[in-house]
Amino acid sequence: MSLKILAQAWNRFFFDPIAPTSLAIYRILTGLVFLWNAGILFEDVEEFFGDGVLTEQTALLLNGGQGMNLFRILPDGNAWIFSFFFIHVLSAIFVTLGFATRVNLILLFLTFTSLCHRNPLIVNSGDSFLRICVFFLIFSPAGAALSIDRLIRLARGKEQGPPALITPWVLRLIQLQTAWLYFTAYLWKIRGELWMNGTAVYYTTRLEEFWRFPLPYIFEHLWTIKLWTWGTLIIEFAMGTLIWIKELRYWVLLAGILLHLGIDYTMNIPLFGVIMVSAYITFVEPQHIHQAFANFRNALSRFLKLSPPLPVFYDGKCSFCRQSIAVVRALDIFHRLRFIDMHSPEASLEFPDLDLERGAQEMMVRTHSGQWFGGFLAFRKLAKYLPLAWPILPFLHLPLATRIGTRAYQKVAANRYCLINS
Amino acid sequence: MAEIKPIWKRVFVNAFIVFHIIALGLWGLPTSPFRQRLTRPFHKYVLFTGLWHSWDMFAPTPLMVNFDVVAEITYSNGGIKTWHFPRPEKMSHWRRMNKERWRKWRERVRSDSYEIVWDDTSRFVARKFWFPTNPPVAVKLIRRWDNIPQPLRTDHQPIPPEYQKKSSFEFHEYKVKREDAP
Repeated sequence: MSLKILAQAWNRFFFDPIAPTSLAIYRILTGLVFLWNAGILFEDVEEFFGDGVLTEQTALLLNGGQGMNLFRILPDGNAWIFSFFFIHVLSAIFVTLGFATRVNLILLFLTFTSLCHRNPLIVNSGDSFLRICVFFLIFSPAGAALSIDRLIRLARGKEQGPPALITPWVLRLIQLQTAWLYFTAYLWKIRGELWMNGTAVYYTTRLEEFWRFPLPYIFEHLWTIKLWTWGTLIIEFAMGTLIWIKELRYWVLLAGILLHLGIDYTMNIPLFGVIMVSAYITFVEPQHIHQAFANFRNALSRFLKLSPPLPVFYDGKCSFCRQSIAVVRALDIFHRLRFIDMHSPEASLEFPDLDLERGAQEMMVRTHSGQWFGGFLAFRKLAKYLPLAWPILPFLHLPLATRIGTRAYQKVAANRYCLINS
Repeated sequence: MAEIKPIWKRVFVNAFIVFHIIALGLWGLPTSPFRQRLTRPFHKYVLFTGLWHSWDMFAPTPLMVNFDVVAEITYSNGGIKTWHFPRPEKMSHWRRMNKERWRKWRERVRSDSYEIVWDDTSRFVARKFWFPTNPPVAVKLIRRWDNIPQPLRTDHQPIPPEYQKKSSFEFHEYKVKREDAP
């Protein structure tokens, strides 16, 4: 083996481009985990981060005075603490949605690290892992896919087609951190006699403070206790080592999921399992995610006996229309719409009743019963076919929505050549 | 391979990767004098950025006692109130999940290695149960515990519905000051 070969392997591992899907899903899951965590903390914000269980001076001593903590520059008063927490929650929401992703990842990291340093007494291993992963995410193009940022880029014409490939070095760092966590957890455990003689789980399952749902028989017999103890060691070892072998990776991940499901069912350690299993997505090849989602989409379509995609007609000669359609296309994750440039030969051939004059004025959809809708009404129709647009659907049906929507649509349509250099 | 351009960016990214693999990799190792020495150059950076971590969950030896922490509040009229620190085992499943941070707090507070927080903890308890007409004058923190019995020699290992905490130790007493009033 030469240095050149090592350098090539390094470059392949960290820099060979991949689709951004795994990274984007991990960003979404991380954002949701933060929101869940914030939901748990919300009731006790004042006691944990205000003048409650721990004064700022003592917190400083616990950190050795070294931890980055924005609370130190915050004026006194609970209103400031709640505002700080609100910014934390808001940044988690925006990270989930992928809006101003990098800025919000920075905010999320700064606020969360400050919360951890303000009260280290309540910090657990899951928090440590989250801090590290969010820190790494800051340096990644986490908003490259499945994000509002991407929709904005499509709407502005700065991006076209599927999301661009990314260099996965941040994703690899998160993978390395995940695997290292399990491997060092294994190293910690094998130092203990109880883990080696198989009785560690006997003690962990008798700690009242962790009790959740009982698991009859399993923890009441020595042979099953030993099996669980050594099984934990084997899985943690595999998660740190065998996971790097392509052929074994998904089996190892499955074992990891089962381990966490078992722990989560029997022990009250909320979030830790979710945090860890979320990180498993970084190990899944993007093409496998695409394939799995395509299979799911087809199965769902068959199961629900969905109608064929709804034809949507747009003016392909207008850049603004093309960019708007690119946004709708990105939202159409279930492929429920069929986008047709009304100037294309197939449009007139397949739909002889297409009104080209009207089509030049507004976007149109044709229902399966042959009804035509244009402008705002067309938009409202197609929104029904887009699950991602469902949150706004009720607002489109409010009284006056048709009148206001139609007027707004007409105004935008009339000025579409001024809105963008068409 | 995708080229990261310009070259300074490529150098920076590679240096960033190498630095963090080494710093966080060493930090995660089980404690030893060897680890202590190797992590020293990274201390300031890791502690400041909050990238510190330890994956010693239930290891090397899991906790072998069930414990309870109790605060005994003495009031100016001589009355005494006992308050149990949050006990997840006594909560509903939903509440147990939402109050997990309190479990962690209790776990740390009862430990001798967190002696530094005992005054704060006592002050918090005093404020929680403060009556302006009859303020608390002292708070005692008491640990109650019971060792988990060793596994039986038979295969069957019954789990009792509850563990009695027979041992008890008053580990801290705090004289409440006037300025502690909420």
